[in-house]
Amino acid sequence: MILIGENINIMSKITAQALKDKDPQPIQNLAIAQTKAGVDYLDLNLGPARKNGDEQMEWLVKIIQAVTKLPLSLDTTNPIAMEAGLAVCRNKVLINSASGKQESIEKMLPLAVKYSAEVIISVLNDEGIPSDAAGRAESIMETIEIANELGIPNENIWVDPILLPVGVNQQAVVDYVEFIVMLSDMAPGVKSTVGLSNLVSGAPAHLKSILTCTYMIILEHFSQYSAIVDSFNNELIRLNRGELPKITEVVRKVIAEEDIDLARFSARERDYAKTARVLTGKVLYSHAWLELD
Amino acid sequence: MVYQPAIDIYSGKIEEVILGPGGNSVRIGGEDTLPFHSFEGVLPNPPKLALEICITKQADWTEEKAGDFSNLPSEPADLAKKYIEELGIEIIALQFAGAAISIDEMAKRAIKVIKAVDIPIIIYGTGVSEQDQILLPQIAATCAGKGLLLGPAKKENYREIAAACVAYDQRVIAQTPLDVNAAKQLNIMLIKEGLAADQIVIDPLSSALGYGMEYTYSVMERIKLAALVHNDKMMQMPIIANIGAECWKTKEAKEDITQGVLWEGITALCFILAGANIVLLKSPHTYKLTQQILSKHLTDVEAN
Repeated sequence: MILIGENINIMSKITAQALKDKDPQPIQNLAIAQTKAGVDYLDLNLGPARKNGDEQMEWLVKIIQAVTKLPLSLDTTNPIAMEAGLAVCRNKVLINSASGKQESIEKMLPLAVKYSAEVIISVLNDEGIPSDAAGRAESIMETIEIANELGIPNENIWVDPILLPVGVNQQAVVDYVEFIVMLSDMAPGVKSTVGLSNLVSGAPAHLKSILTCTYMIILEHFSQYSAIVDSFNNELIRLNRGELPKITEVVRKVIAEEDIDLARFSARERDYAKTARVLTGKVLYSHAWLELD
Repeated sequence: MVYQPAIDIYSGKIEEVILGPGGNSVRIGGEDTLPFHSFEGVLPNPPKLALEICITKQADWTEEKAGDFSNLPSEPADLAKKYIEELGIEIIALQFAGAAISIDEMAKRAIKVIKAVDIPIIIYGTGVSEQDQILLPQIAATCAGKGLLLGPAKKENYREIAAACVAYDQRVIAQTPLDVNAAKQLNIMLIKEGLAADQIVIDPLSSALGYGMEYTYSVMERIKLAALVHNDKMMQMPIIANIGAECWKTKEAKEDITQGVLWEGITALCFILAGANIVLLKSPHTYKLTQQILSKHLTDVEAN
C-alpha cells in the first residue's frame, strides 16, 4: 500500500510553532525523519489556512523540497493556498483534497487540470457525509463524472471514502470495505486513500497502533491503494513491507472466517486476531476488547 | 406447498438476574430468543414493571375519570404498602433524583421502606455520581442479602458501587449514555471488580416517546442482537428502562394526566418490544394499564 506520512500538520505543536516563527529546521527534520521511516508521500497539512495560506504553503513546499525528494500531498481546504503550493512543486503532486461540495468543484478541481496534478476526492458533498455504501457511491460517482468532464482522468483520482472512528460507528468501519470493493467496479482505474488515524479517535492511546495496523492489513486485503498514516508507527511500516508475515496471515484468516485456534499463536498474534474480529464486525467494540477471550 | 415458518436459533442467552429477598424474589431475563419470539425459543420470565416511589415528595395522580390514587400517603413505606395491596405490584423503585435532603437522611428513609416491605426493591439514586457513590454503598451495607438492585453505576463511580454490591450481595444497574460500545465496556469493568454477570442489569438510558425514544429503542435492539446472535457474553445482561421521569416531564404529560398515562404506557410497551426486561413507571395508572396489556398478551400466548 502507498503510505502518505501525516506528521507535518498544523494541528501539531511543532509544525504550528515553526510556521509561526518561519523556522524551517523543525519541519525539515520531520520531513527527513519521515523520509527515512519509509513512507511514499509527505502530507503538508495546513488545514483551512485562512490567514496568509498562500505564503505559508509556498514556504512549506520550498523548504521541504530542499531536504527530500518524496512527492508531496498538499493538504488544505483553501484553494488559493493550494495553488501557491502547486506552482512551486517540482515533482508530481497530490491535491488533498477536493470533494463533491460545490465550492470544491468550482475552485479545487480546476487546479488539478491546470497543474496536471493527481487529486484526492472525498465522498463529502453539500449534504454532508453519506451514511451508507450506496449513498457514498452515488456521491462519488457524481463528482468523478464532473472531474472527468473537466479533463481529469480516473488514473489521477484518489477516492477518500472517509473513515469514521470505530468507537463511534463500528458498522461504518465494516461497511467501508464493501465500498472499496464496489469502487473498482464503478470507476475502473481510480485509486483510493483514507485517513487511517481517524479510525482510532477516542480509543485508548496504547491501543491505537494495533487498531490502525490491523485495519491496514484488512484494507490491503480488499485492494485499498493508499492510506494517510503516522510515519513513525514502525510496526505499520514493517507490516506494509511484508516483514511480519505471521501477523498478516492471522488477520487474513480472520477475514476469511477460518476456524483458528488462538492458543497456537503468540500473544501479539492473538491480539491481532482479536482486533481483526472487532474490525470485521464479528465482535462488538469496547475499549477492553483485547482483555476478552 | 406447505408453509414453513422461518425459525432462527440463537447461540446466546440472556442472564437470569434474581431480585429481592429469598421468599419473594423476582426473576428477570433468562430468555434465549428475541423479545416475544416465543415461537423460536424460551422466555421464562415475562417483562416486569416496577412502580416508582419518590423518597421525598409524592406526586398527585388524581385523575377525574379514574378517581382513585388521590390522597396517597406521603410516607414512602405506607405508599409502598398501598401499591402492593391495591395494585399487586411485584417490585418497588425508590427514586432519589432531585431530593433536597442530606445523603444520610436519604439512606435512612430508604432503609425504612426496605424494612417495611418484603418485595424486591430498586434503589435508583440521585443520578449525581458523587452522591450515589456514597449513598448506594451505605444502603447496600445496611441491607445485606436483600438482593437490592442499585444504581445507576456510571463510568465515573462504578468502582465504589460495584465493591458494595460484591460485598453485600446486591445487584447493580450499569448506566451508559445511549452507546452500545460504552455499555459493553462498563460491563467488562464491573466484572473486573468482581461482580458476576447475573448481578448486572444494563441501563442504556431511556428517552420518552417523541423525545428521542428511537435512539434508545435501537440501542436496546443492538444489545439484544449482540447478546443472542453473536453470543457476546458482555452484553447478555437483562435491560432496564427507567422512563417515568422522562415521560412525565414532557409537555404532553404536563398538559393532562390521561395523556401522560398513555404517553408513559406507549413508551413502556415500545421498550418492552425492543427488549427491556424491566420498566420503571411513575404513575400507578400507567402501571395498571400496562400490566393489563401484558397479562392479556401472556394469556393469549399460553392459549395458543
